[in-house]
Amino acid sequence: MSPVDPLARPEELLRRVYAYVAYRVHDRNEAEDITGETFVRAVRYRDRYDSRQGEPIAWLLGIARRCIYDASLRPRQVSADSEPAVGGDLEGEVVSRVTLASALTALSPSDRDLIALRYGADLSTREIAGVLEMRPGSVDVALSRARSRLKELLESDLIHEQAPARKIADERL
Amino acid sequence: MARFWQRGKDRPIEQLLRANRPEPRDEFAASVLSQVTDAPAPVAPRRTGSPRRFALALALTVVALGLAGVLGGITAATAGLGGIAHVATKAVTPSHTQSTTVKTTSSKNETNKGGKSGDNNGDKDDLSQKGHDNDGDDDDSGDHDGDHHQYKVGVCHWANHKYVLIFVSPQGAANHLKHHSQDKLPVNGHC
Repeated sequence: MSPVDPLARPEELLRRVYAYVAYRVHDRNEAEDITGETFVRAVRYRDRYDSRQGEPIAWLLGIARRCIYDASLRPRQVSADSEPAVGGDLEGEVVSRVTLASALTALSPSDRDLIALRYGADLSTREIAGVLEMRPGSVDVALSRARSRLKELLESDLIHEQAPARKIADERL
Repeated sequence: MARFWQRGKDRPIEQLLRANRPEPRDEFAASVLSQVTDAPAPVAPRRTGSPRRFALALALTVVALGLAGVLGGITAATAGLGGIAHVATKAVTPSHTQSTTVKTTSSKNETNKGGKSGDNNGDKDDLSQKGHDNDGDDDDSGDHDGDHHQYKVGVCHWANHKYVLIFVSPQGAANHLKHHSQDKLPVNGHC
């Protein structure tokens, strides 16, 4: 049994895990469901956490990735009142956040995963490499390409045309 | 949309992503945190037992080594004392026994010789015991073992026109002097 409690700082972990999941699924309700399921599993299996295998955030993100995959296997229920997870209530930023959410949706799942790990979970390159089992150099290259594609999507007028169709397909992973 | 992006395209993409980072709702965060905090934290394994077990093992090792050392010392001392006793016994007992044996043997021989010579010719008996002929002509003077002649008496025996120093028992010497008129006792060990 590990003597280290991986959930010793739950507030910070919750923000990082939720941001990662929200960047991945783009639906607030679904992001909350997956994040809640992630922490339920984390509480259940917290005794199995081994600090030698990595930081608690990496352990939690591993659970979150599994939860996202499990959610992708279930039939998706699109509610009428669903709203983008990447967004808030500030009126001045609504347009930009919707645009960013649409651009993220248009990305490939791997690019979106990299963006979510880097800017949602706020992981370092080395931590991302540990989660994705990649070399740090490869992570940097892949992340740079993902940013370039996201930039192209944001500059393009195709975001509005492609996003709704690709969103459903990509979120199924 | 294009107008939004034109407005913000100078911003780095990273800054845009960080600025629009999703944040959980307060209600949702509170519910998740309550689940986490209500759950019992994992119990750290007791590590105090390890030093205790180590101390116990160390103490047992020291005791075992001490016992081994003490027992080894006792064993070595016992072996040493046994060796000394053995040497002392060997040094004392054999000499005493040997001298006794010699005396006993000599006495026995002397007794037997005396008994026999009492009935027979002691000269012949003495010579026959030494493996010589009974005529006394053999040279017996070469056998001058100190132990062997310890209780014998030298006699100058006349044989072949000369005196030969022989050693016989006192009774044999007396018989020699009695039956051989020319025999005599040596003077200063010489005939």
